[in-house]
Formats: sequence, C-alpha cells, structure tokens
Amino acid sequence: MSWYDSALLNPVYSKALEILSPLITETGAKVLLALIESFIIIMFVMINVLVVVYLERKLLGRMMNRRGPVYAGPPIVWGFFQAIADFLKLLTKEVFRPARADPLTYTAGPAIVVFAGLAIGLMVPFGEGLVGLRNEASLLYIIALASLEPLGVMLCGLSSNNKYSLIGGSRAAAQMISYELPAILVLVTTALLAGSIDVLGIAKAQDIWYIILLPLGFVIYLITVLAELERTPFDIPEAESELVAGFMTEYGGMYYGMLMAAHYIGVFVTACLAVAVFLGGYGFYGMEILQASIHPALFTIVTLVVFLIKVYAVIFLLIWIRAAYFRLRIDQLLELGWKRLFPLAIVNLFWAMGILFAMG
Amino acid sequence: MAEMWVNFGPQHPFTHGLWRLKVKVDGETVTDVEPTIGYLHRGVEKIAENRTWYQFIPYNDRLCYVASIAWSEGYIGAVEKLMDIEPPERAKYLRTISFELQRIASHFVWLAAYAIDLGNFTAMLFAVREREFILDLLSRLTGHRMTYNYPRFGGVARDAPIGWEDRVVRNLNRIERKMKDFIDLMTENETFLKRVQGVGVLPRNKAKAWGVTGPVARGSGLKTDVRYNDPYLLYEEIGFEPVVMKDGDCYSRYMVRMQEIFESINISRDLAEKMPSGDIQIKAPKKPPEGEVFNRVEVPRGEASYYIVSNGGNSPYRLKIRSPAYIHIQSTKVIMPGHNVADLPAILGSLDVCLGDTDR
Repeated sequence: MSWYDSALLNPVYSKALEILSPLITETGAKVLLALIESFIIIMFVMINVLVVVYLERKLLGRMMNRRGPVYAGPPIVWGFFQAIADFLKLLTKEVFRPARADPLTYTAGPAIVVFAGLAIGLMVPFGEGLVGLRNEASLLYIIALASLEPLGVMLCGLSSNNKYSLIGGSRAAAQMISYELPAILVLVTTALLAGSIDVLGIAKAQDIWYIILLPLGFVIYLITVLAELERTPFDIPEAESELVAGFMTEYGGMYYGMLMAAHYIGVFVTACLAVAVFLGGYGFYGMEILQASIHPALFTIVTLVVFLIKVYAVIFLLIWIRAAYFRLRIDQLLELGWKRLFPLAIVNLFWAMGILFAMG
Repeated sequence: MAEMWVNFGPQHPFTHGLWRLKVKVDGETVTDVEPTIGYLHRGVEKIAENRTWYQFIPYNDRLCYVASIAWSEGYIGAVEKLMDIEPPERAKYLRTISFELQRIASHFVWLAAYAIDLGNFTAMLFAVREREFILDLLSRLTGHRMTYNYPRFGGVARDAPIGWEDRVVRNLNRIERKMKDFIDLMTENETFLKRVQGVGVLPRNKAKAWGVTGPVARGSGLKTDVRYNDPYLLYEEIGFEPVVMKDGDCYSRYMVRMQEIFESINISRDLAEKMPSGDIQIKAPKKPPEGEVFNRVEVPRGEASYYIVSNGGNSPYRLKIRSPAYIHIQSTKVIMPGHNVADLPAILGSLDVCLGDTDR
C-alpha cells in the first residue's frame, strides 16, 4: 500500500504508469514512481516542518509579548518565509569540521538524526489511504526508528572533540534511553487496546479516542515526547546556559541546519503519532456518512485536513509548554523518568487491561 | 568519564560579563572551581587620580552599567562628606527615588538573566518589558537611558520635569500589578522551584566569613544592609527594614530580590507622593579640603564603598573602590563544589555578579 492507492493519487498513478511503461518497461516505471512517491512524502513532511517552525516562532513570540518574525513572507502570514531564508543562509555557509573531529561519525550524526525522523513519516497515516508503507507491524518499525535518534545525537556529541559536546551527548543518551521505555510501554498499551500493532489499525480501532480511555497514557506520552525531542523543560542536552549548545556546539552551516530540521521533523512526526494513537487518527464524528456522500478524492483531502488540525493542536500544546516552563536538571529528569513515569506507564497498562476485561 | 577541567568563559553564555570559571567536573558533578577575573580591567581607580573631582563623576556610572546611579551615589556621598556639605531637601528626595528606581531596574536585569539561565525565555522578556517603565522614568529625569550622570556634589544635575511624580506613581503601580506575572511564572512554577530550592546553600557563618553583602548575605540570614546599618540620604526618616531570608539557597536569594523590588516600589512611590519643592543644588566648592573619607552605600548587588584620600589638590590623591560582586565571585569557590554542572548557572545567577565593578 502506498500513497498511490489513495483516491487522490490513484488516477494520476495509473495515467503515469500508462505513459512511462512503453518507455522504460513496467518495472522501471514502477521504481521511478516509487522514488517520486518518497520524494512527495518527504516534501510533504518538510513543508509541514516549515509550518511548525513558523508556528513555533510566531506563537512563542505572542506568548512572550513580542511579535516573532514579521518581514520575510507574504501578507497575512508575515514572516512565514523566515525559516526558508534561514535555511538558505545555512546552505550557503561553509561546511566546517573541527580539525580533530572524527570525519565519518561527525558527518553521520546529523544524517542519522534526519533520516530517522523522515523515515518515521513514511508509516504515518496522514489521511484515508495516505500511508507511505502499509505494514501490519508498523508500530514496531516506528519504535525501532525512534531509538535510532539517540544514536545520531550521541555520535554528534562524541565525535566533535569538544567537552561541552561530550557532556551534552552523554546527557542526551541517558535522557533518551530512560524515556524510551515509558514511551514504548504506552504505545504498546494502545496496541493492546486496539488489538493491532499497526498504527493505521490503532487509529481505526478508536471508536472512542484513546485520550478518553487512557488519559494517563496520553500525559505520559506527551512528557516522553518532550524528553525525546529535548524540548523545554527537558532541553538538558543543549542547555545553553552551561553547555553553549550541547552536542550541537561544534556544528555549523548545513550540518547545524540538518540538526535543527531533525528537531522539527521530530516535533511534527511525534505529534502525528500522538494523533494516530490517541486522538483517533484522521477519524472524526460522522466520517462514514461523509465518505458515502462525497467524491473519494475529496474525502481523502478532508481526512488529511482533519488529521493536520489535530496534529497542530498537539504542536500548540508543545509550544505552550515551552513558553511556560524552566529547564530541569538531568538527575531530576532521570528521577522523573524512572520513579514516576515508568511505574505510571505500568499502571496505565493495567488500566487498559481492565478496560479490555470489562469490554469482554 | 574521567575528571576533567571544563572552561566556562570568558566567552560563554554562562558568565554574566567577561570572566572565566574553570570547573573541574567528574561526570556531571563539580569537584572544584577556579574563578579568574581581570578581563574587563580598565584601571578606573588610577584614572581617578588623573581627573578632577567633577570629571570623575561619569566614570562611576560605568562601574556597573546596570546600576549607574547607585554607584555615582557612592562617590558623590563620599566627596560630600569630605566637603562637609549637605544637598537640599528636594535633591535628597530625587536622589533617593532615583537610587531606588535604579535598584528596581537592576533587579529586573538580574531577573531576566536568571530566567534565561534556568531555561525560560518568557520571564526574561517580561522582566525586560517591565524594566522599560523604570527606564522611561529615569530617562525623563536624567535624559539618559543607561549611564545617567545624575547626582552632583550638593544636589542633582537636573530637576524633575513637571508631572514626573505622578508618572512615577503610575508606572510603579503598573509594575506592582505586573509582578504577578513573575509570581505565576517563577515563584509558583514547580520546575523553577525544583531548580532553586536547596541549591547553592551558603550557610550563615560562611557568608559572614567570606564577607558577602547585599541580597546574598540577606539570603543567608544576615541582617546587613547599609541603608539599615548606616543610613544615608533619606533612609533614616523612612525607617527602612531589610528583607532577610534564612535558608541561604538560591531560592532565598531569589525571594530577597523579588521582595526588594516590592520594597523599592513602595519607598519610591511614597517619596514621590510627598516630594517637597525647592532648590535642587547648593553651591559646592571646586575641590574638597585635605583629608580622607570612607563612604558606603547599598548598591543593588550589595555594599559598595569608596575610600578617598585628598591632599587638597584638583583630583583625588588615592581612590579605592570596594565592589560587592568581587567578593561574590570569590564565594563561588565555597558554594559551587559538590553541585551538578547544571546547578552552576542557577548559583551564579543568584549571586548576580557584575564584572564592570569587579574588575574596575
């Protein structure tokens, strides 16, 4: 299953296959179209990342009693192109590597982090039929890729040959590993409730949104998301007041741009995952009636819009938290993770089993 | 990780100003620190010997650029003692009000820096916003926003513009109302309290032994305040009582400064309401007679004192400045070891050092 199976892209796909097959054989055409599809998905994620960056700057600005970016961009959404301008600036800068940094791991770090984020986007159901790669075990795939991110961050920290980076990298590793466990437990709980380890399956199984059935699970997931994304109050690995920029200290130019992009890809993708497993995915009240009465392509667009609205609601919450809280200390963070969230995640698991039992 | 030395400063977001802290860390724990100063040395004390008494007034403003009027007051008061003159009543009022307004402005700068040290940008911008209302008053009074050059021997440089007293009351009422923002955002914020409570304890006896003054000493339970112990200007009439907290941790120092903001608001508002009319300047001699004098004032950071020797000439024969921040930087050696690396900004921020007057 791919985006081409959706009602939106299917006509285009069959037309393109028809035209290309005589030219480069059917297999060749399918490979080419698959490449184009992954490009479309990446572009979709990246455009959303731009929106996330814009929203973060603008909303954070309004919350802090200032205006945020105002100059670059079209009317109504003043400042929207600021993120593009920043990326262009980073692209034109010299790619710099400290003399005694390890060349391979120094370059691999940002690449791994970006890859992990984008690859998760492949399996997220953005709308009716809009799943890049449908798999019966996609939750496992997402968990596996999410645990790739600490590796990239750790490589960044260890390879830079800088003491701030070293401390930042080791903090990041400790933080991410201790927060992965409660996150996985909560995701597994939702899978248990849905009877499926497919993200799409979990999303579709939610007649009642799991945020209502598992409010505790949603709170735990939100906290672990903040920790894994290194956002306030858990921006400890890049604590600028003591570690300059933590594991990113020695990165400049597009490497730095990649790390920043990876951060916002992470924000978007984890918000998508939160929507898929807790907020009913792209489902909404009266979906079946609407599906029967309008054109399938239009319906796909409606589901996509519904999904994105939910995603941006979650992202708004993340931004709000960033404006309101202070940075915790690493020992307090680990204590919170192991002594509070982990037991609570197990309580959440038992709660879900109770629900299953009660429902028969 | 083995023990290693990490350098904080002179170019580092952690140091408020230009100094350097060598920190020996064992993993995340600080085992030893070594403060190094001297990066901002300008030889102010020597400059004084080559300037006339009047020419040296503006240099005091530049000792600590966030508390200009307070430092000028120290020098002016010392020379007035030497000349044996007393400013007229209205000038005393203006000097006391501007002195207290300067304290509020300085504490807001500290608050802004402290918020950002602990990882919250919102409180920082709020503090800068409120400080603007003090700068509005001071710029109307003196014509400047930063280095005011306001007090003079036997008076002040300019009289307050018409309606200034009402403006003082109005702006201070606003600030008092808006202090609720900081109580919500910081004093009652769980993540903030976790970072400051019980951190960086300076016990009473150590505080006394190391000679700390100002909010740091008062946070450790010492009732020392020059305005209370050795009143000058109008402080005897006001019946000033210093704020004292017992615990000696970052939270106590934070609370002392927060309450001092309220106290200064009350003092300057009361004085502005009953400001007398009359002269603002008496005729002072060109140079003081032969002799020596010691004068101390309570600048926002603690006790600043001037020791001046005059041989009856055009300029001071010798001028010695005692800076509170100099002592506070040294006291990092007692407070910091044993803490987490992430506690260093919390501790240093609570000491509120200013390198302009430390290095002189």
